[in-house]
Parts: sequence; structure tokens; C-alpha cells
Amino acid sequence: MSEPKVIMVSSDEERFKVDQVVAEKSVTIKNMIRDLNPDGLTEDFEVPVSTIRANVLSKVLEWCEHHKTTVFPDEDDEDAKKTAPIEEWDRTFFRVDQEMLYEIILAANFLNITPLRDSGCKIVAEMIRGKSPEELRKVFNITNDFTAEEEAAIRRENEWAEDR
Amino acid sequence: MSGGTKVIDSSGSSSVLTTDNKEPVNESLSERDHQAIALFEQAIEKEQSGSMQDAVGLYRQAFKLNDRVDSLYRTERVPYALKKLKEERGKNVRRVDEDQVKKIDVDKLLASFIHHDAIPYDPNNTEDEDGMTIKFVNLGIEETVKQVEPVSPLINLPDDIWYHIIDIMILTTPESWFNFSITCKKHAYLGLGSSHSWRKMCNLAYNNQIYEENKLYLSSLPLGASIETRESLPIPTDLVQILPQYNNSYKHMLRERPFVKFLGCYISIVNYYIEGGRSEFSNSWANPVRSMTYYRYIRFYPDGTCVKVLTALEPNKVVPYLSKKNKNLANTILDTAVNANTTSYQIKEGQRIYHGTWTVSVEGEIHITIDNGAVPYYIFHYFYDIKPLGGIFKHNKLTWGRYYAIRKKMGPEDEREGEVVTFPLKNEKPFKFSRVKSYKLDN
Repeated sequence: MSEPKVIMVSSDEERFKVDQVVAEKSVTIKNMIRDLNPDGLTEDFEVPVSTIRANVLSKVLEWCEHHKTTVFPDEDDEDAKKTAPIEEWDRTFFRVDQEMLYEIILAANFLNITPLRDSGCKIVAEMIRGKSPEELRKVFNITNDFTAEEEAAIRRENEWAEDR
Repeated sequence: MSGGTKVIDSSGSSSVLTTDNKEPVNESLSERDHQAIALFEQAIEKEQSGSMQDAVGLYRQAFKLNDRVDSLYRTERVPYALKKLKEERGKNVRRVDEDQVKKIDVDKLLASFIHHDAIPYDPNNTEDEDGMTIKFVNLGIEETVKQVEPVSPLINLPDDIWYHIIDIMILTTPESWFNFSITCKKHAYLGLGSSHSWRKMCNLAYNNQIYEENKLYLSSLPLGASIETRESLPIPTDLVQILPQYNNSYKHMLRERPFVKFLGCYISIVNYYIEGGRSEFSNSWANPVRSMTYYRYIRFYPDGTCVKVLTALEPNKVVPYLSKKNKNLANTILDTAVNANTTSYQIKEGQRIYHGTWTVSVEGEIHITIDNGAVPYYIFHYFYDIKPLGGIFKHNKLTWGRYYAIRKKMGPEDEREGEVVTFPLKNEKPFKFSRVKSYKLDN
């Protein structure tokens, strides 16, 4: 008898059959399995993830598969986690367009895969880093909706805080 | 600049000390005019870093080449600088109505952005210099209406995720937090309007302060006192306890409550004049005057230590080496001195980095103690007050309070022990804070 698997069903009804350890990178799924099978899985466990499309779910599971044995540091020092550099594999993994980056972060948030969500957030922070406000408006395709006076006033009262 | 260190001028916009921007060259100007403008620019740079004597010399040379170099500089360089600023900041780079700006209640304005959505860029609407909207489609020149692309999907990430991203920016590159927040109303709310960033910044700033009051309290406790005494510290470490004193606003706290900054250094530039003598047979009425420049540098660490340098060297020669890991400035400077046989192996006074300790009082008085100073028999005490710079840049200036030394016990029966020497502050100038990108909390 092979070990029971977890079958995740995407919003567009695609089925992904993965090892329990891979699926349990998601704390949401891990808790669900614990709650429904307190004595451990005896047969395949099917779980619908109706908010995530197949192409996104496959990306997320690719990450979980790669990191199935990775031990992530404890939750204790939030600031240290936020300042740690992005792992090279993750950086390559995130070479996707803005739409996909958005969907992966949302999925990681929904499935409670904190290290994946954190990596995604770092990628966004890196997109922003080193760019002027006008360059950022181009990156996000947004309009500067301040009047000149509003912008000047906001600058004057807040910009100093970047020194610390 | 060596070491990749960039100093950001805190007195204005984020102009970086080293400029390597290539500006367009105007072919119609003569070689001599180009040279004059270049000298004029160097002079401005020297003036900004405080070397008055060098600045004056360069200005003189520039005006010798072209006596209208100042207006030439303005017509040649300023339009380019303005264009560059516009590329960085966008449409609002223009003269603003000061009265209107002053009337704006910024906190209220930011709060009003709470439900604003980001507006996609519309290539059919372009604004000209006066802020007037010209619709090209109406001019009949082009028939096609360009399609408006939607905003980036990332804009629609939940606020919690954005706060996480903002935390990363505040922790790693604070200027990116501000540049992001000034892009549009929605982002201004996320980055500046909500209390999230301010709480984060308060925690980062105040949890790293070494409070004089707490140090005194802890040293007065009996040996082996329990950890619970931490709860009864005169200056509580839990900011929630003191938040009511600041209208329950973290932003208000950050603005009002002084703190020592770590991601940069404090620099004081002192220019003074010494009168020389006239040469023999000179029939000049006045004595020649020589202007001298020296700098004081201080860098603080959250572990209660600090380093201090007093030197004639400019910031770009000092800032990269100003660290508690160093005992002197660049080794290269030392080597050349040794090779040239000009000095012994001893470190020159102007290249020594003195190590000391610091505390700050809740009112913002910094006390620096240097035990191992320029002379072995004194302990030096410096007192500074944290003040805003130009009213806008909060906590960015240190003014001199007191400066004295106390004589150490140098022998078994040293009767001079405890003698106090007070130093005059006549020539001293306040310190200004400059952020240094390469500085971390402990490097």
C-alpha cells in the first residue's frame, strides 16, 4: 500500500495529487487534515481550493515540492525574517508577470504558506526599491492624482521620517 | 566614493554627494565657458560640504574665466536639473502656492484618502506646464484613441499584504517607503495615513535608545535584582504605555519624542578665520585672513557605544571608515604618510577614531563619554540637544550643550583627580544628520 495522497482541486476543477508533506506546507491544509483525521490519513484526502486557478495552484505546488524538506526559521524575529535576502531558487521561481505574482501571493495568503507569501512580498519590495516616484507610477500604471500643493504639503510633513 | 558609501544630504531633497550624472553638452559654448561652469559647479559642491576656502578659490577662478558665469550656470544647468526632477517626481514639479500648501492639514488630508482607488494612467490625457489638460483626440490630429490599460494587479493586494511589504521597505531601504507612498492617494494612505508605518518606525527608533534615566535606575538596583524591575523602568520600553501622552498617535510620538538615529552619522562643519601677518614692506591696510575648516563626526550604535572623529578631512574621506570596527580612518592615508617619511608610525590625531559610550534623556539630551581620548588623563564629556533641522527635518540636528573633561586618577596619590576643565563652545557649530546607505545597526 502506498501512502495516502492529498488531492487539491482548483477553481477550474483540475486535480493535483501530491504527497501529504508537500500539501502540508500550507498550514490551512495541515490543520484541516488534523481536524478531520486526528489519527492520521488512511486514504487519499480530497480538498477543494475553489479560489485558486489551476495554473496558479500548479506554481504554488511547485514551490511546496521544492521546499518540502526546507526548515524555515522560527516565527520569533519578524524583522530578521523581513530583512533576510531572497533565496536564489525563489528569485528564479518568481520570474513571472505582475498578474501571476499577485495571484501567487494571494494564494499563499489564503493557504497560509507564510514563507512563500514573505518571498513574494520581498519581490514586490525589490520592484519598488531604487525607483523614483514617477518610475513607480509607470511600473504600476497609475496616475499621480495629487494636486501640486497636496504633494508639496505631504512631502514636507512626512519625508523626514525616512531618516532613522 | 570608495566603499560604495553614499551620503544623502538631509537638508534638502535626496541629492547624493557624489554626482556622476552626465549632462548634455551645449556645443555653442566655448571651451572657456564650459571650464568656467565646471569650476562653478565644483565650487558649489565645496560650499555644500563646508570647505569655504576651497569654494572661494574655485568661485574666483570661475569668475576669472567668465565674469557672468553665475547666470551662464543658471541658463545652462537649471533647465536640465528641472527636467531631471520632473522625470523623477512627475507632473507636480512646479512652483506651488505657498499659502495654499500651509493651509493644508496633512494628517486630515491623508486620512481622507482611505477609500481612494488608484487611477490607471490614461495616455490620451497629458498635462502641459500649466496643468492644463489637452486632449489630443479633440484636436483632430490623431483619430485613434489610445487604450487605457488597467492598473497593475499588485495594487489590489489586500492591505495586510501591503503593510507587510511596507515593513520590508522601512526595514531595508526607508527611502523606497516614501517614494512608494508619494505615488498616489491610495498609496499615501497605506504608507503615511494609516498608523501602521508610524508604529513600525516608533518601535524601530525608540526600542534602540539607551535612556539615561533607565541606566541610572538599573545601576541603583541591588545586585541580582529580578527581571521584573524591567516593568517598572522610569522610561517604559512598551510604547503602548506612553502612547496616551501623544494623543494616542504614533506619528505624533515620532514627531515629538526625540531619538538618536543610527543609519547615518552626524556631521558638524566649522569654518573659522585666522588673521595672518602682512609681509615685510607690504603697504596693504588689512592683514591677510585665512579661513580654516574642520569637521566633527559622530556615529551612534544601539548597543550604547559611539565613535567620534575630529579632522580636517571631508565627509567622503571619513564616512566610509567611520565604524566601531576601526581605530583610525583609511589605512591608505596612513601608508602614504609612512612611505613619505613624514610621520612616525603613530596615528595622526586627525585620523584617529575615538570610541565612547552614549545615553539620551527623555527630553533629548545626549551625553557622550570618552574614556580613551586625545590625552590619557582626562575623561571627556559631551552634551548635545536633539533639535529639528529647519523646522521640517525632525531630530536631525544636535546643538552643543556642555563640553568638559574630568581628570582621572593617574597615580596612587593623585591630588588632581576630579579636576574639571570646561571647554569653550565659541567656535563649535551644530551637527546635522546625514543618512549613509551602507550603515547598518552594527557594522
